[in-house]
Amino acid sequence: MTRPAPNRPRGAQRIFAIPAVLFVISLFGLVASLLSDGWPDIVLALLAGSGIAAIVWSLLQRRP
Amino acid sequence: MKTATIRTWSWVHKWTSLVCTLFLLMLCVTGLPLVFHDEIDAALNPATWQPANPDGPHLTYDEVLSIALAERPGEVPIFMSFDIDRPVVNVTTGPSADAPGSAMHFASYDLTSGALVPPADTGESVMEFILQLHTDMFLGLPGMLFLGFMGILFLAATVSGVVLYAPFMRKLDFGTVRRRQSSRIKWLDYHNLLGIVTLAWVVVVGATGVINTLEQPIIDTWRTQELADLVADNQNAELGTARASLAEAVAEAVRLAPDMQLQFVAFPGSGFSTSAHFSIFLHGDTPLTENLITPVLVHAGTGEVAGIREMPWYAKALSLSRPLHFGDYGGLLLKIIWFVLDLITIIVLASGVYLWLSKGGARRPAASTATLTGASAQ
Repeated sequence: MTRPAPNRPRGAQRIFAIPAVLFVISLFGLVASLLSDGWPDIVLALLAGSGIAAIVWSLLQRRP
Repeated sequence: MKTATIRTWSWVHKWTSLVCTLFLLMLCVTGLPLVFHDEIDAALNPATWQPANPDGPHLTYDEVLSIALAERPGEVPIFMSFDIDRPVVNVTTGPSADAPGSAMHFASYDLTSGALVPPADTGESVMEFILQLHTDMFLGLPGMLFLGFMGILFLAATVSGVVLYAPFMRKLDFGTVRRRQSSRIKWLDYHNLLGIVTLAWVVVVGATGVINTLEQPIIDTWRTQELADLVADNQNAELGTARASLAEAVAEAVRLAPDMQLQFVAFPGSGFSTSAHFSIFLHGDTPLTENLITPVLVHAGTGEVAGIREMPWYAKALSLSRPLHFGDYGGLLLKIIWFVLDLITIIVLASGVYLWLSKGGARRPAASTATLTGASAQ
């Protein structure tokens, strides 16, 4: 089992780690916005849109 | 994951997606302007109207009702609703209380003078058209239920997409987009990335959309099951010629349900009431409870309260599904995020179609390899 490091197969835990965190954060923002009023709305809306930030981050990465 | 398992999930993903994609694209595109419904209305209808006597005393609801009925001789009242941010009462009348929507007449009155308020409905017909297309494609209940079924397929496509994300990402870091390889590989990576990071939103909007398509069955069940005894107990109540004060009936209902706001009144004989009662609908005054409605039945002859009933859980679920679907509950920033996530979903849908077309189907492995190598060579 001596594969080159970048190609080593990843387990499900590693594959879904970041997506799971984004899922929980976004879901919290979406639902909690329903309960809040005023300034927390802005923070919660940003949490709900955390997936957009993840896309921007990944587009800024320079990979082959 | 075993090859056979992957193949099964691929089959589910391919077919559930293919069947619903065209409708989902329509829903996403019509959803874009609907997110900003309030802002578009406000921009097209600048708030120039002012009450005649801003600091003056308000007319009673009974006085407004008399004025409204004098304007529409021979008609009966059906609904009365109340603006939130201005002293305006809206009265719906018709030839009979159970008249169809097309025969109803809607007019707004200044609560400080009784004068008619000009309707602010510029652009309304366009937004109505878009909303109707989005809701039922002009097909009524069958159209709504059909779109609900498309929503269920879309959720199945989403779940299978998440399962398939694993084998595709086995050798890639999160967020990898292989831009310099073939166009197909690039769009496969975009499809996976954009799909997985918007998962929570897609599930929330998809599931609440499906619930919204059940609106009519849910409201019918509420009326026939939960409110049936309330209505039946009172259905035979005689309604003589004497009329109780509407204003007092409303005041009594509000007194019985503190912390609730007046939403609208359904008059005797209308679809939301009995033949002898005012149904007075109240809603909560916090962000969560403002979507939850409690009806109070008040006898239109004697002014006596006949019953008050909270919504059953399934009607509450429907009420909370509306804001969660339309994204109009958390301010402008949330709406902008809703808009962007909607655009991203359009890209996911379109790239899915592209990936299916460029693969040429699993039946032609040779052709698909040729496409791949051809694309890489460019």
